[in-house]
Amino acid sequence: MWEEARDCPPVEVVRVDELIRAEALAGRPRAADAAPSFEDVFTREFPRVARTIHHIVGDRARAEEVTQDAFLELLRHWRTVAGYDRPDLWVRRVAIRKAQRERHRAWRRVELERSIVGDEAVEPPTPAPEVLAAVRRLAPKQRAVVVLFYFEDRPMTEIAEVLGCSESTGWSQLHTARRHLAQALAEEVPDDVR
Amino acid sequence: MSVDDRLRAAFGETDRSWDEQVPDTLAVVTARRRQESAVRRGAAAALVAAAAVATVAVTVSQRGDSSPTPSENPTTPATTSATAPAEVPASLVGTWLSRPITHADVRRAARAAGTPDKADLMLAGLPATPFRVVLVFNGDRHETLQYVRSGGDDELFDQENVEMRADHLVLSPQFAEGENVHTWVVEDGVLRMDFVSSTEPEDQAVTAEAWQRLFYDTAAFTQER
Repeated sequence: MWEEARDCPPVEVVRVDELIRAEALAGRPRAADAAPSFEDVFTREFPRVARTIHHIVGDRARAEEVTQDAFLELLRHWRTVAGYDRPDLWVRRVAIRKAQRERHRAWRRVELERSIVGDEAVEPPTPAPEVLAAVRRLAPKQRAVVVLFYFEDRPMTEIAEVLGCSESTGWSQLHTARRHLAQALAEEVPDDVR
Repeated sequence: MSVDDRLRAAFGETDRSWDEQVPDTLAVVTARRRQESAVRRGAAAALVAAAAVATVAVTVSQRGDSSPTPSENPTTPATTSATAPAEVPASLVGTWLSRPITHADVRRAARAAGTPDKADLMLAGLPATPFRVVLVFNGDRHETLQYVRSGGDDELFDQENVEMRADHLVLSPQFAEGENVHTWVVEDGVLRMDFVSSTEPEDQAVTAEAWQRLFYDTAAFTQER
């Protein structure tokens, strides 16, 4: 799927390069030559980040908006972020924070939740909608940990990096989420995460 | 079946339709960025023009002469967007902790921003007072993470890119448009910031100025070791 997605119109490649070159000419440092281009990162990561955000917010249109904004942010700061070891984690962190931002300054949490996952929300495809529905009833941090752990299959070190928390906090959120989900789905919850 | 198995099964389907959107969305993102750059360049040009007009006007008035001549020591207008962002100063890098922020501090910040009627909205979106604000300035990443410490937990509250422009600290939220400008000083291990301006749009009817004043200006910060 990455190979298919790489078939972007060449004209846009030129435009991205022009944008970055124009800003480099303004006196800002460029990323190391060995670093991947913005287009490379976008092509590889946009669908992945979009799928993850779709699972977190539960609505396709909102996931598209949030993911697009996160990549715009990446382009704005590309010269700096290109020098990082993991630009892919940086853009995930921005996207997840954007998705959750209302909650951090939210005074109408219930109303927001209802507006995010309304009747017309287009949810991700799944063979088990009742499981994803239970995931979406989790607290936002728990939901993000669950999606990154079970959907993206990321190690807790990376999840902690993305969510800006310690690994122990990440594990704690995951265990709490599993207990809640087990209760909601009437399933057993083994001590060890599998 | 365990809860882990059910979760992995539920997340097992990959929505390939996102891959098809890559070319179009890349075009949209680059177009948005190009538009931003054009607007920024236009604003910079306007600033330069305004500064040039002001310089001429000052020269004319000082000379008391109706025939303006170029100044012998022309100065470069202090445009903000045409210059490279300076490094985050070493004295700022690290973790900073505020004193406990109270209910009254929230009301004071709302009042200082000219929106005293928004204090209740702000309080409703905050943890129970008192709480402390923790700022983590990362020099390598040119960013600051802003946590709220309440009941022993640190909750990540905001995340902003940091630039230095002249003696001003410019914070650009990673989750919103616009930027926020503060003056700052570190003396004897104490960081003090003072709000200057904001172009960040209001968030759920509360202005960015009110939030910025609350989180950055309400209290001085001591460096956490």
